[in-house]
Amino acid sequence: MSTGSTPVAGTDTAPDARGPAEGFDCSYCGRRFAREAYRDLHLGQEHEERLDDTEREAYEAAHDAEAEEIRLFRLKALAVLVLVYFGFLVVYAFTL
Amino acid sequence: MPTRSRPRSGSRSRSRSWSERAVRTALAALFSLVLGGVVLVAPALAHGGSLRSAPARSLSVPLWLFLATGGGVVGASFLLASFVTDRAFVRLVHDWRRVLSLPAADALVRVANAVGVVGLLAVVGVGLFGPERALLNLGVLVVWVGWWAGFAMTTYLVGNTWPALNPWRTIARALPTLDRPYPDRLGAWPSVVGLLGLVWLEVVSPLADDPRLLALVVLAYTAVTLAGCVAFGPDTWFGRVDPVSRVFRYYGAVAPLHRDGGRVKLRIPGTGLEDADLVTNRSEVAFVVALLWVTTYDGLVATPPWRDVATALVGLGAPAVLLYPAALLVGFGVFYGAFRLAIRSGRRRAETYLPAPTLARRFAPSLLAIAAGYHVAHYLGYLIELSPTLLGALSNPLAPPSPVAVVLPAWFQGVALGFVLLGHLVAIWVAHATSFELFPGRIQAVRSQYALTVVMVFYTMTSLLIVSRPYVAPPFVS
Repeated sequence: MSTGSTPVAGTDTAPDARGPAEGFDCSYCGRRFAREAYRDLHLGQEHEERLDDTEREAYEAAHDAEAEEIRLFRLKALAVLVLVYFGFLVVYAFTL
Repeated sequence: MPTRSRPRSGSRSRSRSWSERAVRTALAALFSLVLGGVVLVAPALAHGGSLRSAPARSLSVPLWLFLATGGGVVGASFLLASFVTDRAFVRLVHDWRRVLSLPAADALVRVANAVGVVGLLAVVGVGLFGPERALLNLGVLVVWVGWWAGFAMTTYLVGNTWPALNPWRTIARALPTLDRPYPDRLGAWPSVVGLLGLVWLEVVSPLADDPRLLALVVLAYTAVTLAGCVAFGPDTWFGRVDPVSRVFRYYGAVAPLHRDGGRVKLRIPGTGLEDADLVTNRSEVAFVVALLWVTTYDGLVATPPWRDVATALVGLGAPAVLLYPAALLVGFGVFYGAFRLAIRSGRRRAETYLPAPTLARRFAPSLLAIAAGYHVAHYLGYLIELSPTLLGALSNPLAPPSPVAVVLPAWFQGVALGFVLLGHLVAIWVAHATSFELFPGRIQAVRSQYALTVVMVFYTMTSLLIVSRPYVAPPFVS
């Protein structure tokens, strides 16, 4: 585990002191993430101007992988919305 | 004590059935609006128009369907918000600001200072020595109609002007102060206790019907507040201890107008709730939950189910005097516990190492939008119905003309409709924007809100259940 700069206690970026030993630390601000992808996304969002080529590539890869996940999530959300809508439609039709 | 009229009971029962119709119409309207159909709204509107004189319990749909629709609308809003995954857009909404130039701002503040102090003197003076009938007494009308209904609405719809209007702050500036250090470990807990205490007092005592009692309570509040200002200094007192200032400060975070570095700025309503420094610790989270709960509690104790439970408990030998504070604390515990569970579950789902207290204080402000929405639903009809009475009393405080009340037109339901909806939509959006700020992954951000959305659905259904019950006077109180 690498601890970069020391985070300030009590701020949003301070890692949980009771957190498990494994995890992926941001080398710029020390915030810890449960998945490598979250760390890579964080690097691109918060420290964009300081990234080296490897980190930039990792960020872009994570971003693309996430876009795929979001497409799938939207399909599911749309399906739930349609179900809710027609569910209520049917229930109202039988109740009113 | 002679029997006096109870202006609040009557008008509250009217506004209850009215707001119940409005909420139901609103939910149906949102559903059709959100999901693109017109099938649901047409029957609901038709029934809404014919219910005007019917008792509140005759819902045109079964209660379970009414509650499910409310919950469904909140859940559907969450799904719709989750489609917005463009970080730049979320940030744009939050950062949008316009500077407003207010002419003669200093003069306005001095006018507000004077209005506040004159108002306080009028409430106490007319309360103690004016007409005994509540509907004729300027003190009662100013406190309940002018201040708690009308002014409170301006704090979340326009901006928090309470620091300028607050008469106790104006008076305290003229007093010496000992500037004692405020014990940090107390946090906002004294204001949580103060808020719950004030609402308990409002429910169990005839504060809205007895001008003399109201004036005495205001005098007691004045004594405590000024003593606190002398001990700790006005800024510490109103910033950390006084529950009333805290209510208006939190409501003000919903509002479009705010002060930033000495200038008045305009923002998109609700976006102030996304700021990280609004709620800074656990006790302030508790205060936000308490603010949401007390609006619900106020309605709960005037429903038939509460009357039945209270009667049964007293029949079993429970002391009636403990019933109300016990219910107040138990309900607060349930609301607070539900919120904590939601935060813990959200933390697990989002796979984050951010500590739970950090998440709690970042997500708590979204509840303020819901609290503001329900405040409008509770008091807008009441405010408009009694405004002419207030104006009459203002025109001649010691011998006011006989009370006149406004009869609200049917289309007016639509206005409350908008606000109840808006409260929930803003809350969902604020939680969405906050999660995008906290978490690097967009799916991670959406997952973090599953449990919070479930809890918001629970809060909504609780409030709708109360709103849909007919009004009965709370039992075992004077």
